[in-house]
Amino acid sequence: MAGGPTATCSKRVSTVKRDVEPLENAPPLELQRAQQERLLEAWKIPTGLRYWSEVNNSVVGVWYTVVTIFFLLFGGILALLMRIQLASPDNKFLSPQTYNQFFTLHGSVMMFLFAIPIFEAVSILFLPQMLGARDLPFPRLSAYGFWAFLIGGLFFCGSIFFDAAPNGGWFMYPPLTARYEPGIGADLWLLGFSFIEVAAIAAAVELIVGVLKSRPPGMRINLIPLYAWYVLVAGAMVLFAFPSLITGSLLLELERAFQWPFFDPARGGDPLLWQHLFWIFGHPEVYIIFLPSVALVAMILPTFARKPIVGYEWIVLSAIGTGFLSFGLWVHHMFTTGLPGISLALFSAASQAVAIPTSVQIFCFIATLLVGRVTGSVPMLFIFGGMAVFIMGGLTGVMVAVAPFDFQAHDTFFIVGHLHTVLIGGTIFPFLAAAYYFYPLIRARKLSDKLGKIAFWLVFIGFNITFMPMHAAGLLGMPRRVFTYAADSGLDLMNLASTAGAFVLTAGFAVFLWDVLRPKSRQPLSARNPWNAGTLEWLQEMPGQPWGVRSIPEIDSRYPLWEQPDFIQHVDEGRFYMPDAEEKKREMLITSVIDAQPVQVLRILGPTFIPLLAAAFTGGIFIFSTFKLWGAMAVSAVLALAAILYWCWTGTALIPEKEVKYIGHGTTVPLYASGSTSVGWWAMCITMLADVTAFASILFGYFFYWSLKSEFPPDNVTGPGYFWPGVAVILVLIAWSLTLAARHWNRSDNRVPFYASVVLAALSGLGGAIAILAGPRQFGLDPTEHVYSATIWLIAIWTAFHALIGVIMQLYCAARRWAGRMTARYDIDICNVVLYWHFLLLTAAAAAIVMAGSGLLE
Amino acid sequence: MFPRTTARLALILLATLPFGCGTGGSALNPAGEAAEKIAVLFWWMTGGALLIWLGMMALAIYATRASKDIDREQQAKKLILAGAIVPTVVLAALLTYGLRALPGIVAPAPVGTLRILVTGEQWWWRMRYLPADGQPFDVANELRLPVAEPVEFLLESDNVIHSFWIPALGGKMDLIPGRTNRLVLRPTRTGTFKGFCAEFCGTAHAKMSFEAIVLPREEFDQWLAVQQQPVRSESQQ
Repeated sequence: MAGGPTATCSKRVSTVKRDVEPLENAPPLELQRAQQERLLEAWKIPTGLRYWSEVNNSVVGVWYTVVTIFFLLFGGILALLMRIQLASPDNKFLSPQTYNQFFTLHGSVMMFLFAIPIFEAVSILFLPQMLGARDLPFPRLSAYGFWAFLIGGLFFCGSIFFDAAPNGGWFMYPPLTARYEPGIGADLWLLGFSFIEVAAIAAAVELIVGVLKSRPPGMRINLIPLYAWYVLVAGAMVLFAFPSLITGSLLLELERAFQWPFFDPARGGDPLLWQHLFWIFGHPEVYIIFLPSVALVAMILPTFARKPIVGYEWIVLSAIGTGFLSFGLWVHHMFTTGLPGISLALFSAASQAVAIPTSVQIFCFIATLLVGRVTGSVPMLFIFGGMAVFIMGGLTGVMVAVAPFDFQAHDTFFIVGHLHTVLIGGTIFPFLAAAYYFYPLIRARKLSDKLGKIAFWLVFIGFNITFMPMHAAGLLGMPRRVFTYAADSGLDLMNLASTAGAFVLTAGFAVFLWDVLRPKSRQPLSARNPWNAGTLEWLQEMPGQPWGVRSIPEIDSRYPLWEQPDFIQHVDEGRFYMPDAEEKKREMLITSVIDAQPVQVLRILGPTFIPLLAAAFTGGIFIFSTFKLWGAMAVSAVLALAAILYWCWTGTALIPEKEVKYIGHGTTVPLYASGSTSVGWWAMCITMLADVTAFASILFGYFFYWSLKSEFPPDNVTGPGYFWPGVAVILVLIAWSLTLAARHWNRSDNRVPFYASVVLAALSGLGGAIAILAGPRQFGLDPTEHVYSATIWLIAIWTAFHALIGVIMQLYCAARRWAGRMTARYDIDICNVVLYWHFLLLTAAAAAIVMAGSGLLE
Repeated sequence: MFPRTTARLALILLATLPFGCGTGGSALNPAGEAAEKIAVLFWWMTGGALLIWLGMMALAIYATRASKDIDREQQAKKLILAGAIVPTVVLAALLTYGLRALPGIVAPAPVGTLRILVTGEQWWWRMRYLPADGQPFDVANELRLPVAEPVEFLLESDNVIHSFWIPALGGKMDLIPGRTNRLVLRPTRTGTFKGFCAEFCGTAHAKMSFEAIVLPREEFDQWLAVQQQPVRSESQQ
């Protein structure tokens, strides 16, 4: 693609390296006041009911955080009720049916509705501030992600009140969840979480583009705050991990709803495929949860050590290394499935290896403590406590990574103890530290030191009493996920201790919650930058202004508040970039990926209900599918498509009233950019990486069956032949070339060939979609008969669906040009659609090769 | 804040130790060859982990408390390097040591070994003895095994996934529909040991337990002879 859209699509800005200093003199007060008024008008937060239409990160981020904490409490209450049930042997407090729903919900809620979303919520809330940006590049996408999360989460959790919750464990192993769990519980899990996962991917796209493109001028990649590095790594992991689970969920739901036998051994399927797809997601997921918490520590610890972090490069490389390694460990969750010894040894070694980068990160923190002068504080208390707990969990993790020991420990309470030690030590403690640290940024007041200390000791002691005995219980013979245990098993004391500890832990959370919720109106406002931190988020005034930063600073250090003289004052007086909103529009500065040179002023849109509507309709697709209300589902799908098209039509690629804008310091940048300069291009590219990964997971399934099963394809089944897949790939290739041609004709402002190529491209794209389906249809493959036919159909439908989306995009471009919303100069739409078609061509080619290749295998 | 933390943690860890010796055998009170090997591995790893943990805590306390009047930049850089090298060495050693037990545990059974086909039902165990010379017969939720001899279990399920686990004798192995897994156990002493289903398998998963009674060879042979009498019509499907 080099030299394609990158070089030609965008109007390049001169990138002369320069070191800009703040204006020597502050602008006159009167001008400052006028600027502030205009900024305020642009960024004003609506009141009343329209408050809920706000899309700005500082508002959506707070909603998001509050809702995730609500889900944390919900999951916690379930856990407490389970602990009451396990307090004594043969207890009758909860029925087995209820208990099984509770532990399924507890695990699922904590993972999908707390641990991952809290990372995205906190990032949406603070990432722009850490980057000195006024917002993220796609505020409406953040809002969409939030509403999707809220709707999906409430729908999922609500099921427990109707005794309809899933009860097959958060890991959802078929065949239990495929054929032995009637009712809607498993469907709720599969569809509800797919919906939430899509929202999580949307948030990841937003955050990655945010880090890459909305940094302040001068913040080259070696100056990025560590939190942003971790966001990049965790975001990239979301892109490559979640699609595998989405694909797995799709397969399992197809088996549940339509009897496609992906996991049914009687018809050629294999339950182990689910375990692979689940854990290819599930293990990276642990690090997706853990790394952002390390990132919080990396932001907080230097503040209290009064020194920059030691080993910045080491931390960044370790984080990236952890991300990579975490994709090679999934099999250690499957050590007892009967794998050959060589796999066991290999994955034991890989699982050990991941401890090395983790250790480097911890040692960097200790090294920072060593050079700094540590001041005691509640956040540091939580960090120390978290480290003590997490290291213990890491060590038991190393133990279970040794396959022989895992044969005993696997699926017992030892693992329950281990995983809670890792996740609570690695995530909850840093999160509580962050809550105490960042709270002044949200409500302009500090939380109480006294209550913080009480909360810490209750949480810390309660945690240890709850989870330490579990390790012993597991090795004494207490399997996981049991609603009770026998009186003569010798497990009663340990379980009683765990239950008692759980109450202490709960008391700690109650104190924390009280601290957060107690009225603080009589408490004085927090001082600005109350901890004397060095990073950009502490620029915020108390209370914060809706515009975020007063002027976008030029950065030349990792801790500008410490190292750049009079920094806060210079930012406040508008001595840096974009101190004004001349047109009273919400604007943010887009910079280049590596050097962070200003390349564009991006107009972002303000409050609107459209993300809420779009999320509600997309949610409808999943919710109605759960109840098999196909008519309602179709209506909801059409409405969702309409809402999204309306959103794109009215809110993206808007043509500005002028070409360029002056941002101060002799710099003028365009208001419109397409190609790889634009944020939209990056978002499309990143989204499609996730999409292609999901497709690759389907192909993984195909080759998994093919390599393991002698009857794949089965003897009595032929098809789909070479002809139709071949036709399909040729048609997609034609459509792809015509889309490229359309971009060319649009740019050269040649109307007739433009429309002609778009229409022809759409027609052949449509033809491609039909042709790819024609193969399996012509040979009469029955997807319910054998897993081979099911897989071929799925590959075909996936490709056809993507081709249809591609056709809608092409027609959208034609309409945009027709309406004058896309021109030769303003061509974001067609540039991004071309990018989509690159990926589509790849998908279609892979699909055709696999489908046609199936014939050759026979 | 650190010494107190440490003291408390040590107390809590110690408090869990007395639980290490239950009745009926456990992973920590082994009665089988594999379980013995794993228990030794466990105690070594636990000891090592405890030492490392204490070392890390001591290091963190030292880093916090050490005098700041001298420049410690160089020391800090060396520390990070140690943070990369030390775990690499320790983990390599652990891996070499830990995986040594693996071949013995996953090795196939010698020819002539007693074979038992275990099928997981919802929610009970069907144990089908497959004597080399004689009629197969079924027992439910109960195993009788000869001491000091290997037994090969063939593990199957035609419903959901289960996992066969006798903590005192060795590790667990899953029963996966569409596959036959194998597990070899060799009891080292007589007694009655508990077995469990370790993979969640539905409503009564917690109740899906069984007993393994390890007998001297003569007693086992007597039992076997009684079980194989053709007139038996006990309905033990």
